[in-house]
Amino acid sequence: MNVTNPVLETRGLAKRYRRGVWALQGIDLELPAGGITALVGPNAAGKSTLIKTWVGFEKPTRGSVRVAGIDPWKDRSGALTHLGYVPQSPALYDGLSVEDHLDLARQLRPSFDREYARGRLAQLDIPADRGARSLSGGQQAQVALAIALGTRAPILLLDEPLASLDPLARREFLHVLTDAVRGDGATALLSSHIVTDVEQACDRLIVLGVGRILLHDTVAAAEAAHAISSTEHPNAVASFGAPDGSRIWLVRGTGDRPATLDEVVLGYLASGRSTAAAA
Amino acid sequence: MSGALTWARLSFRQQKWELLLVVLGVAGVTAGMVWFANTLEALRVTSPQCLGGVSGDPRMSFSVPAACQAFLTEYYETENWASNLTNLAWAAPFGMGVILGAPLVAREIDGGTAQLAWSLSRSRVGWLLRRIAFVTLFGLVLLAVLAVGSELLTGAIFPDRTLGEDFVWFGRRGIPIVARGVGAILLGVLVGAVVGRVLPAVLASILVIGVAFTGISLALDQVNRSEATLQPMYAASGEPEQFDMAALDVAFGIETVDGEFMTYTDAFEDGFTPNFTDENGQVFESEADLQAGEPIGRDARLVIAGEKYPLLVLRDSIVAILVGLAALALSAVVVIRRRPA
Amino acid sequence: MTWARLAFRLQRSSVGSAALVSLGLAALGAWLALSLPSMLARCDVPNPVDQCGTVYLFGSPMGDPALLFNLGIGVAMYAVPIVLGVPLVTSEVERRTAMIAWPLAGSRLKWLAWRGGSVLVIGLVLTGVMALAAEALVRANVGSDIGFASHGARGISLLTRAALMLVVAVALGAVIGRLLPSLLVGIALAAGISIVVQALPPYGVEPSELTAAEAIRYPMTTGHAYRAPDGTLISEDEANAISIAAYAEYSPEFPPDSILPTDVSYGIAGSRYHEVLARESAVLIGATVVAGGVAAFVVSRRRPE
Repeated sequence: MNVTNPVLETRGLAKRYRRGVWALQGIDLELPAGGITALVGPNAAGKSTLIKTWVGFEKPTRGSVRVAGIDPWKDRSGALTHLGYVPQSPALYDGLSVEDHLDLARQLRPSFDREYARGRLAQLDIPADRGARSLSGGQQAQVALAIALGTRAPILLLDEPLASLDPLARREFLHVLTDAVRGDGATALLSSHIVTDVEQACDRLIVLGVGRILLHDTVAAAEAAHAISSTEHPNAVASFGAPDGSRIWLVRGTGDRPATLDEVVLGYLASGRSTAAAA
Repeated sequence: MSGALTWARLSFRQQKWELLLVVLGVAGVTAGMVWFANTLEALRVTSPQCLGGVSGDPRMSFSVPAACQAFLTEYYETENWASNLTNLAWAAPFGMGVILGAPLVAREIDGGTAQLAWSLSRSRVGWLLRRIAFVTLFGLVLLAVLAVGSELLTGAIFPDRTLGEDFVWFGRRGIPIVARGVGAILLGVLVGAVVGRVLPAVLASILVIGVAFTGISLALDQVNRSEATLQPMYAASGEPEQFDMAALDVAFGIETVDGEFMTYTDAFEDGFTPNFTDENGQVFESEADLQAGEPIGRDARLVIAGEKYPLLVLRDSIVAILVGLAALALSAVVVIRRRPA
Repeated sequence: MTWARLAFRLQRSSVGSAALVSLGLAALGAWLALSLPSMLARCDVPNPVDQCGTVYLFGSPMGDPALLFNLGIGVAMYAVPIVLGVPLVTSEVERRTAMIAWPLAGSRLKWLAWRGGSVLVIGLVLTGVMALAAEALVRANVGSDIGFASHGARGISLLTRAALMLVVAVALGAVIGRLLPSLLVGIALAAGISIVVQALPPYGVEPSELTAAEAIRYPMTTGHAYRAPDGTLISEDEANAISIAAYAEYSPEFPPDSILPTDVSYGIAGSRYHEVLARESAVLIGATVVAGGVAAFVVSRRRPE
């Protein structure tokens, strides 16, 4: 797809770690501004690696990445100005309180909006004087999100922030994120391997499997364009097991019934696996 | 100003326990030095006549008046204990490098907080300089306190010497302690940045700092040799030479009949066997040569005069700081390029 | 084998460093022990060559390497246990892997026994190698009748001190729960332990007056006295006064030995070394067991993070 002024893009991005493992292969991606995009895929699909290339934490083996048109490997500082980042299992400083973390963020990024972040945390009743070590997993994730939001960056990258949260904490997290993104007109990319969590909050969907993009579309279009068939179908994307033990096919176009988002993702992941197996 | 205070407060909190323990250690050692200095001065005041003209352990001397024996025993035992504290002062800079420098970056990477810090800070070098600045300043202040304490103690033990032109306890007092500390802290940071895990970084930094400063010391020994002069142990008249107590001994050996200097080790390697020395310091290869009066040379030493003390202190300090700055530059390169986890 | 492999992998850097230092020192000590007799033999001739001048000047041809070894052993016998013992619990707590390990093990004491046991075995092997090398060097330097020579820095006496330090380090790490502060406190504790252990002898073995032969065969000296020419015991000041008066009377000649006071040494003869060693080992092993009990108590009660 050709997007005007994409906020995040990759061209032919590939990343290989030692021992020859390709985490990403031939990723071409353009993300338009605005809204929340879900980046879903199973474990080891390459979601974290993809996000980290934009943050400047992983250097591409091949290809390039851009953040608001800036290559972070040529101008890291310029790229980071546009980014707020929530790392996977956010590591906070054990010896610092929540307030200290906001102070630290302000020290590191002079444009950090401490009051905004403080306000977000107050809404969630997270005490500012509490030590980071004594916060629950959900509270730590909220602190990390508040810090990312406090940067007031136009692009937010969130690397599996929901992984260790209970359902209520996940809901609260997504609520805060949605609120902030819609309110500020920011763009967020949220990676997860649990589709149902992101279904309500996200506008766009990227399915990543075995290091490749399997699907990139709006959530509405993805759901509208696919259906489920209980028998083999000429337009089938892939087949997989249903919860009742039967076999079903994800098809493009019409089928026996509309496909849920979860089923769309499962279908593409299954197709990715079989393509990789065939290769 | 409030930004600087916030920066200091946060930096302190990120390494609270190590900083507190180091402060405790330095405070204890410095307090000990001051106490010993005062004790020695008080002792000196009580019996100045016992100290005049006596050096070394009085239990070995039969010319010491009986009335002074007990006093001198107490005095020199106190001095002995005091000198151990200056050994700690010598080791302190290297210890700081291991304790304060090595974990600085290593802990951030090991604990995963580098992802937070490096994504927030637009410049990793800026982040690194901020973190290093606090720790280095902190270490510098503590080492300065220790250096002053050590200088005071040395002055109390050697009250009649001009310490600014005296090599006594070189490296265990004064400015070199501070300069070496800065160098060691920055070297430790580099090791931590490369290794990326706290315990391995601490262990590796012990080796790296030890090897680096041993290398620096050996290199400076060679450079400083150019400042040395040859001093025979005995004058031509056969009387022992008056040693300049303020001088730094570089090497002991033989001044050959040609006027060259060689160490005893060099002598053996060159095929000389300096096995006999007469009462005038003349060196002979055999008893026959001794009887025949055919020496190969005379006992001598290479020394650097006390007035060169400021020059050597300056060299030592500059080299230590330059090594530290080189380590800092390398740390910046490592931090820019490395993954945060 | 799995147990050994895991034990190494869980503490790779500390085991690796400890092994490097221990084996390096042991190799140096072994080389010194093997080289010393032949070097001394080469120097014990009318016109010796090689660096025998240093033998006459410094009493040993070994010089710097021997000094390095002795210093190294003195530090490593405490440093190696600290480096092995402190991270055992601290790394699990700091990295929060205790939250996986302790429930998996079912019993925290079982976990501590498994991990602590592996570290103790590794520590004993490494310090044992150093202890053997130190023992060999002392025997090469002194002969077979070594008595109390270098006691505490060789053989079983080194091993028991190191074992105590290792278990204390584990307990310390369990109490503090953080690596760097534990290492720093451990260094201070090591200094304290070495001073206390040095002050404890002779563990109830009664010292006696040493004969002249016993006094030169590496006894444990517990006290000194002086005996006047008439045989009575006198103080140091009295002995000095007698000596000064004698030298003054006979100056410039030396006074005869019969009118000078003699040194009297009290202590335990070298032939009774094993008696003291056995008692000391029992005390240190007892202290090690107590420290192990403390470690077990703390691990069983503390939070895993």
